[in-house]
Formats: sequence, structure tokens, C-alpha cells
Amino acid sequence: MKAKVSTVLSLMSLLLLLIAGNAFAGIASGSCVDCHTMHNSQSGASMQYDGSATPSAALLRAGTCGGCHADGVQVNATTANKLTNLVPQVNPETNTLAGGSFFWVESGTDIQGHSVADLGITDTSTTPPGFNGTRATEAGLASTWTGQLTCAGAMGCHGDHAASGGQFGAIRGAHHEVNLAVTGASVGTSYRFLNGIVGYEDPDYELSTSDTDHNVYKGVARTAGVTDTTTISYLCSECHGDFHTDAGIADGALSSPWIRHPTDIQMRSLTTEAKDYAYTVEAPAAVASPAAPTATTYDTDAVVTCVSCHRAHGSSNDYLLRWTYSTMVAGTTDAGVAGTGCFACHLTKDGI
Amino acid sequence: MNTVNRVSLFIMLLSLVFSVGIAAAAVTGDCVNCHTMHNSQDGVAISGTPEANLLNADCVGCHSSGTASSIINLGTSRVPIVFNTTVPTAPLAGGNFYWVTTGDEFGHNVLVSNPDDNLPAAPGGTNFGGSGTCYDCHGSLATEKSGCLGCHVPAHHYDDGVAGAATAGDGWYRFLGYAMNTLLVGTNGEVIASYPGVTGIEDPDWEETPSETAHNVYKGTTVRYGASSFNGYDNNSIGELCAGCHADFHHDSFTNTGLPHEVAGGIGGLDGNPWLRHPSDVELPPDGEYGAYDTYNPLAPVAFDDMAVGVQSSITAARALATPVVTCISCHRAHGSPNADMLRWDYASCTTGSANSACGCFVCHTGKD
Repeated sequence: MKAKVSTVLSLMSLLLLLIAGNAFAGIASGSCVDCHTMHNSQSGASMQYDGSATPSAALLRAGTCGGCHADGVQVNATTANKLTNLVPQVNPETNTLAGGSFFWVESGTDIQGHSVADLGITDTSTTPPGFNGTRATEAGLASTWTGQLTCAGAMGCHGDHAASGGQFGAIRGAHHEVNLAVTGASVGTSYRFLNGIVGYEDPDYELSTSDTDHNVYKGVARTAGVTDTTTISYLCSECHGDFHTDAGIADGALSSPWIRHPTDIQMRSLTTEAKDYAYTVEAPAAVASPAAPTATTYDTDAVVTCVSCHRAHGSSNDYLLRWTYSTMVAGTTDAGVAGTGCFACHLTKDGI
Repeated sequence: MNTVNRVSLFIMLLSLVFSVGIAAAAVTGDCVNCHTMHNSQDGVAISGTPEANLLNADCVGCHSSGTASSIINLGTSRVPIVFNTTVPTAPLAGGNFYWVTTGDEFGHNVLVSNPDDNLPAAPGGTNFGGSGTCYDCHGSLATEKSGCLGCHVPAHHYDDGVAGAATAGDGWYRFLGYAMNTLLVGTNGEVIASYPGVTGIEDPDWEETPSETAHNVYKGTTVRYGASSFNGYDNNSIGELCAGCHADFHHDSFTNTGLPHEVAGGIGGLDGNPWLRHPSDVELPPDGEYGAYDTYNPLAPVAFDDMAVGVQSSITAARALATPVVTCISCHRAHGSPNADMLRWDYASCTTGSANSACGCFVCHTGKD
């Protein structure tokens, strides 16, 4: 949903308290008026950013997630390792963040992003690929998929699936849980408000990145029959269960030959090419204990995970991939392709 | 007579960009043409059940065609076809499984759904005691454990970057690795033993258009194997691969081993004694009628005991570099042929005293036509 922001510049006064290892999604300080309106009335006019007369839940000045996070006006910019505008925008064409951008799916290319209803996106497909009713119910979702994906709540990724009060109820209080360790104990202390998920949150959401400036996702060297519900891959599996469960990725033993691309599998334990993986922002691995990244974070721990290959919100590539799959040509020696994308792990499949 | 219907379920026409280029090169081409990450596209499965190694299809699914073409070309990428559902126009060196659908005697039965109606076990072998024993690989190719993998050990991404004969770094000649290596692993994953596969020089178009100057170069050996050691097959010859199932047709075939599969006879020919069976992995003599076999004839190819020989059109000239060796596939097509007993020519066309260029026997037995 595009927002007609009349006072968006006031959001630029918000400050996020950047403390390494703590949740950054919360709003540590800033003027209450930038987000809230007590009566939705100021000088006889509505205080909603989109100009509508209808007040929003939680006394907010936007009635949807996109009202603040996809307002079409703010841009993701950074100074001194924090966002200048401080409200991460999830649908720009440029200056995209770690989760990617809904820009392309909003533009009509369904296979380039998650089709969240909040952004006015329609999608003829309904059930998520690989949906597994058993895994869904374990995660608090319905056993069958009905309706369309939303940002949060019972049909969304963020927040508590079981909370009442719709999407805002799902994330109630999270934005104000600040300066707390990311433990997954609540929505506000979960990685990027992904309830129960753990990880290290890059202060500027990976607007700027380097090998030591990035998110650190949680992944585990899983064993058969044991499910860690705090990994980022587990979050994806809540809707795409067949792409992650033991039986979904392996025919028998949890090892090669895989029948679907492995996730939450420790690459350092392998005897083949991927054991020599070197971290890249483009194809990030995960670790068991995420913390601020260093040059040695992945030396002994490098777990392949869903977001090693995909952008959660969307990307300019089909299937929300972090790179263009059609450029992945076995045996290639092209400078811009060899060693990138798939070849970050499949080290022997390119031509170098 | 086996019907086509029993095998038609396994046929998939795929648009693959899949290439094994110059001899011993790894595959090249878009990953997406062979692999699917999650076996899901637009909510629909690519393969009915997910395939191992994230493949779009199994061996038959990729290497079969409903056309008469033996090589599927897509741009510069190619995939060899070994199973056409119609008569192949130019079958490749290994032959074609098409003819197995016309009769068991025309090819190897590699489908569980289509075991040989007449042969309970590989000719020249034993049934090892039946299903549940070594039989499941060495007795029949029409078992769950065997099939294509009874002879081939897929290594599509292998490439040691060295031109010439295909070796371990290339996944061996035509992926004819030592299939048992995967079983010779201990409980802790340690390698108990590892044996070599078949070497050879791979013709770039799989002999779709063979000639005396464009052909595979097969590895043979003059070393007598199999006499006292079940695992003495380490000369990388293609004949040794065949001996894994057709032991009695090779050399000394397990005599004096005391093992259940001990059989008597082999090929004979030792110490001046006559041959008991057609020689294989035996030198093609340089004299007599065999010495007249000079120009390499793809109809009845010879192998060589040293791959340094390269692709030769003259066997006489090749003798300076290697010893020519008669081998199993001098006479047979490994997959299948239009001729009974998987022969490279119609045996019935061979009438002594009557010259016939279509009779492969006379290519070596030049004095018999």
C-alpha cells in the first residue's frame, strides 16, 4: 500500500540505540508523535500518514505495516552505520536491505517475492510451495492454507501467529522492547520480530555490508529427528515444511544424496566441496550462536540455510533468489559468475 | 516379446542443456537444466518423487528420447541418448536399449519391470544364491540395486582438466567406475578398499558418426586376470567390467578360489591348449589372418593396452605404441543392438567363404571369408 505521507520527515527524528548483540528492531528513543496520535486529530485534520480519516490500531498514524515500512517516500539511507530515516523500508528498488524488497512482486512479478496482501499484492497461487500441514500446526499455523500471506500474525511471518488482534496484535509491544538480548523469548526479543527466531541483527539491516558487517543468521548442524525451532530455516519451514523437514530433504539418512537442497546442515562436517566454503554476503551461511561478525565467525561453523540462497521479502531474481539462477552455468569461467552464487558452496562446479 | 508399454512409463522428454564436451570433460550448461532445488515449480513437482542429488529425473528420464535422435542438441549443449522409443537413426557406441523392447536377446535388461524372460542370471556367471546376495548386482541388472548403476558410477561434474584418456579424475571412461567402491566403506566411513575403473578415450559424439579416424579408444589388457583373486581386476580394461557378471567368458575365471561362484574353464588358451571360449583381453596377433586387420574398423573395434596410442586409423601403425587387444565389445554393444546376443552385426550374415563387409567376424578373421 502506497502511503501519501504528509509529515514523514518527522520520522527522521527517530533515533535507534545501536547496541551490538541486542535487538535493533525496537525503537529505543524518539518522539512519540512520530508514530502515535492520541485522537487522530490535529487542527481538525487526521494524523494518518495516508491522509485517511480512519484512526489506526494502537494509536498509530498508519493502519498497516506498509504504512510505515513501505510508504513510498522514505528511502533507506545510512550514516555512521545506522539508517538515516531509521524506519527500514521493505519495498524500494534500490538501497534494499537484507530481507530484500517487495518492489518486484509489487510490480507484478509474482515469482520474485512473497505476495503479502498488505502491500496490495494479488497472487493467483495460494498454498505456499512445500506447505506441510504437520509442520504448520507445530508452528501454530493452520493445518491447511487459506487466504493470502500477510506481514504478520496468523498468516504472516512476523509476530505471534496465535495472538489476537490481527497483525498489530501479533507484534504488540515488540517495537518497544529495546536494548534486550535476542533470545527468542518474545516477539520483541526475537530476530527481526520473527517470533522465536534467534540471530544477530545488523544495525543498518545490511544496507551497507562487508564480510564483517552483516546479519548473522542462526543455523544448526541438525541431527535426524531433532528440530531446532530457533533457526531462520525453521521459520521458513513453518510454511515451506517439505523443503526443510528430515523426510523432505533426504531419502533415509540425513546425508547425501539429498532429494531437496539441504538446509540446517553443517557444511564444515562434509567431506565434499562445500566444506571449504568461505563466507560471502551474497550466499551467507548461518551459525549456531549468532553474534557480531568477525573474520573468524564461520571458520568452524557454516550451516547452509534458506536465506543462504533466498531473500525473504523478494528480489529482482526469480524465486526470490539472491542471484540469477540462469547465470549459474556449470564449468563457467566468467569473471562475474565463477565463484559466486551457487558456486560459493559448490566450489568445484564452476570452471575455476 | 516385451512390449513398449512396460518401459514407456519411464520415458520423459526433457529440455536439458547438458553437455559432456570434449572427451573426459565434465558437464557444462545451466544448473537448472538438470537440477531442481526443492522439486517444486509453480506449485507443481518436477519429478513425481524427488530424485537423489536434486535431479530433475533419473538416468532413463534424461538419457531417453521419443525421437530417433541419439544426441539431444540444445545450442552447444548435448546429452547422449541410450534409450529411444523409436528406432534410433544413429545409435551411439554403446548401442541402444530400444531393441530390448523388441526382445530380451537384443540388449541388457536394466529395468526392474523388465527382467530377462529366459536368463535367470548373467550368462557366464552364476546366480550366487539368488536375490539378496551378490546376485542383485552381479547376477542381474534388472534389480533395484543394479540397473544403470550396475555398470555406471555417475560422475557428471568430474573433470581433472587433463586431456586424453578418461581416468579417476574424470569419473572414468563413460562413468564406468568400480561400482563396489561405495560399498567398501566401514562403519565409520573409512575406505576399506578402492579399486580402479575403466579407462579409455571418449569420442566427442559418442560415435554417433564413427569412422577409422573418429572413434572411441577402448582399454584392453594382456594381463591374465581373475585366476586367483576375485579383486584382481585392476588393469582398467573394459573387458574386466564385463567380467564382473560374465566371469566365465574371461581369462581364468575364478578357478581355485573355492568361492561359491567358482566355475571351470574360462577361455582356455593357456600353455598351447586350445581356446575354450572366444578370447577377450587377448592380443590380436600381428601375423596370420589377424595381421591383415590394418585399418581400424568401428564395426569390430580392437582395444589397446596403452592409451598413449591415441586415436589411430591404422592398427599396424598403432602397434608401435600399444598392443591391440580383442575385447568383449569388439563384438558386442553394451546397451543393445538390432542383432541377437547384442552383437554389433548379424551373426547369420557371416558365411565362411562368402565375403561380406557387414560381417564383423571377417574383420579379424580375414582368412575366413
